[in-house]
Amino acid sequence: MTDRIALRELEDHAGFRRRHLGLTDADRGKMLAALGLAGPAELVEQAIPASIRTAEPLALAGPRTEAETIAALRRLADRNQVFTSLIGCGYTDTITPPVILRNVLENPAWYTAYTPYQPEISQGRLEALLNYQTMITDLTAFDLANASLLDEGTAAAEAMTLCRRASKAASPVFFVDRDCHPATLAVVRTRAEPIGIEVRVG
Amino acid sequence: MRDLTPVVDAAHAHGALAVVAADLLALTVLKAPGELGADVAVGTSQRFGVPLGFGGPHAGYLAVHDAHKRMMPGRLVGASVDAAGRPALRLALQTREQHIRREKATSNICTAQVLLAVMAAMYAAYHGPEGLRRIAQRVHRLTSILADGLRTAGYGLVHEAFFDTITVRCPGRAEELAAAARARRINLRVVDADSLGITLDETTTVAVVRAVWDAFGVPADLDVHELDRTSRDALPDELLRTSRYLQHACFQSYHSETEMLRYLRRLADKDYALDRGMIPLGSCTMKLNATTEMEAVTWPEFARIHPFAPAEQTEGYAELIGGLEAALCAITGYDAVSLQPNAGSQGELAGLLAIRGYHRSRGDAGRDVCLIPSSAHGTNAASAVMAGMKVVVVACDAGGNVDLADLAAKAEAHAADLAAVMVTYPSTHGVFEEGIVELCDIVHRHGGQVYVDGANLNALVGLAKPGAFGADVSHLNLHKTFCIPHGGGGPGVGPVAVRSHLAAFLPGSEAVPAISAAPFGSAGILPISWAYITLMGGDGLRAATIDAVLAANYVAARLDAAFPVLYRGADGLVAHECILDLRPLSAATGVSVDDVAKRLMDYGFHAPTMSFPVAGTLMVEPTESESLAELDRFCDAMLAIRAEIDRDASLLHRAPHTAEDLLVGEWDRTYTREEAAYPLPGQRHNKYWPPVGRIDGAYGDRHLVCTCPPLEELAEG
Repeated sequence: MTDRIALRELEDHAGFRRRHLGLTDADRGKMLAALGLAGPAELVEQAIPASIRTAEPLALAGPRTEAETIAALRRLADRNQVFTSLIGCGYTDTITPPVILRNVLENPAWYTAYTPYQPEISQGRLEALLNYQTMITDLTAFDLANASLLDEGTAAAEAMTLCRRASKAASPVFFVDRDCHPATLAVVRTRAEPIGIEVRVG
Repeated sequence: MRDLTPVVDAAHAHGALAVVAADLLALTVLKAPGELGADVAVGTSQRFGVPLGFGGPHAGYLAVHDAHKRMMPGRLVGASVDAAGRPALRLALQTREQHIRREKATSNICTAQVLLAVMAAMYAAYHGPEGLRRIAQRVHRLTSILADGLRTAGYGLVHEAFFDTITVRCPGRAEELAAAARARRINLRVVDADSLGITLDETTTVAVVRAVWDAFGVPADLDVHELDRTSRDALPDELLRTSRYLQHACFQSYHSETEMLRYLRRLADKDYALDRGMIPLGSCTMKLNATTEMEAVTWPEFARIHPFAPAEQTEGYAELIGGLEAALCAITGYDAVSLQPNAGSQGELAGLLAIRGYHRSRGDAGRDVCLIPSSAHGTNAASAVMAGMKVVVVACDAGGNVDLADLAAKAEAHAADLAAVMVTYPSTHGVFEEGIVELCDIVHRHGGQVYVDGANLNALVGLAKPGAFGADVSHLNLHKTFCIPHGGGGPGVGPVAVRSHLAAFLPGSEAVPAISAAPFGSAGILPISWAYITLMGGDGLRAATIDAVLAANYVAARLDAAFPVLYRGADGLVAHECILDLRPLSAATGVSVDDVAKRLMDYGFHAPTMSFPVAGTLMVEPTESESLAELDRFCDAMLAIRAEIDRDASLLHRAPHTAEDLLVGEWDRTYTREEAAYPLPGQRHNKYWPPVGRIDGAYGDRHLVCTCPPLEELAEG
């Protein structure tokens, strides 16, 4: 058999590339021709200034197949130990209802959408976010809540600067209760100092 | 736990405002911050069904009263109406935001944590108010029983009023007892040498309570159910909640799994995501989020890890994080990376704070001017102000490039106080500017540092490295270039990457204690980017970049005659995205970018980025993941729309068309129903129907409603 392919090639370690990239070699040929370019090298030479271009290959491991990558992740996961954490500090274990886990967190219809700048085609998540805002305003007994911030620390820092803008007091002091979560205090301190807010803890 | 009313009153008496951080589960049984007189409430919604993930991502929350609504940072969803008067939702009060207010903005927050906020809201809808209250009562009961058991063994508590957290006095024994708990696979919080914190949650079982007792040496014969009969709640009477909550239909209607399943499906079906078609949003890099990349995120070994778990329990995370940091350094040419920032905006701020810390460490505290080109994203300016810098705007030339003469003049004028320049590369105009190396030299010569915004890194990976061509710091967007999905508006991960001289000023340092609450930010989704890099390898990543550039240039070439491409590089090529200039067409025909964007919905597409970075334009970024067939389908749609503008522009003005528009009532338009709904042949067997027509945003801002309608209102309707 003269056309026998080596095992290394049959294993196809770079196979994921075909899944991630939408174009086939034939497509690339057509597109380059439409642009009047001889090949990908010419595209790179013309598009990217020589002063910054690098020909050196990236010093990375891989590629690995999807199965190999899952196995590698499995090995990493096995080095984490799931203890019962009663540490608190703003983080508690929780039961994600499986219907929500599978149909929201693991559902590309929810996770591959973009920010709802085009509202006509985003009514589903806008409704879910309106529910979120309602939940927050109701539980906190406030008029208005936003569609979420990055974490509790960031929310506290944003609250601090909001108070600075809204307060009529001249004092630059933001007082923080010593029983607040340490991580929240750390973010508040980071954000206060450059803009001249003095954080006092007591 | 204590009554905060006196503190709040005292703050108000001195002209100050009061912020209360509150636990949402506790608020189902305790008085709300609004009832205590607070001005702002903040916290996290993590415990509403969002996995720990070693620290994130989770949705933080912020609530204000009406008086402060225009000062509130972040995204806000509000009700409005569409062209036919139907109720419809959209983002409200957008003029507050940093992309419009630039250096006058008071926050650089661009994004939310939409996916996680959706989960938390659905958790509340699934359990309803009674279910949430039952969870809260159970957690509190177990905490009270745990406390009683510890008391019988002679331990005292620091606070006698509590909800789910007790602080146990154990003079000199905190470490020893924590180790005893760890031997039973339980982590406690060592507050100091003499006290331990214990926080229970909905996953806590009677067995866990017993195991904690065992670690503290509580006699094994103590009976939980016996104590249950005698234990008393530790919630002060005056703080008990009496007001009702979550009475709206959405929190009452989906308690059975069947109803919840169908509700989630119904909502998802209204939305357009990558599972339907291309989202060619310029500067957003909406590429494939492969299933294999997503797999590990929900494994318990990644999902159920507390951010402050002991290091020996998180070795897998440490290796994954170390590997990802090393890979990002190799890709960008930088020397150190912090994965802590949990959004691009936070990476920006962290990068600028690193520059600030560096200057101050050298006695250069006066260096506080940040040069920013007029083409920059508004967030850049907002971040600079938050880092204590003054923004000086640098002009762009007619070709859209940074005007190097203007840059040199301003760097010269500010030679004594120049802190940094912030540029995006390739530029926000979608062009590889030839002058980038010279730009870096000019700024360095005048004592400044170079910040390269990594928003467009998808055009560089494997072809050029910012850390090697002259930049000192960048933030990256793992949710763009490295495949973390956008989640409908969050989560994101915005690592900050620096050259070695700035490494001592990354988050977690003395100069910058913390940019996010958790040490590794949104660690729970880092396996996605790790997997992408591992799957692709160095050659694969380079190939992806070339395909992304090829796709953008192909689209630019196909559309240029109909919609002129505004900016190009020296050789006539664009980078990984292209700006289509509609301004002459708009002036001649009255058709706006909005009209084209909405008409694309009828064709089954998400619009490109509108009016950024140039008003009146559309910016297209196809990414490497789209097939030639899909690129052609998009180009065909755009060309067909161009023809419609000449034939009958009302097709665009009245877009998008809902099924109801076409089916109900008389048809009196100048075009056919077929032209409205099936403009391309392939759509007869694959049609996405926009659920509402064109939304009137201004109406909603005039009549601001940002919560669900109460049940009574629905009953009246």
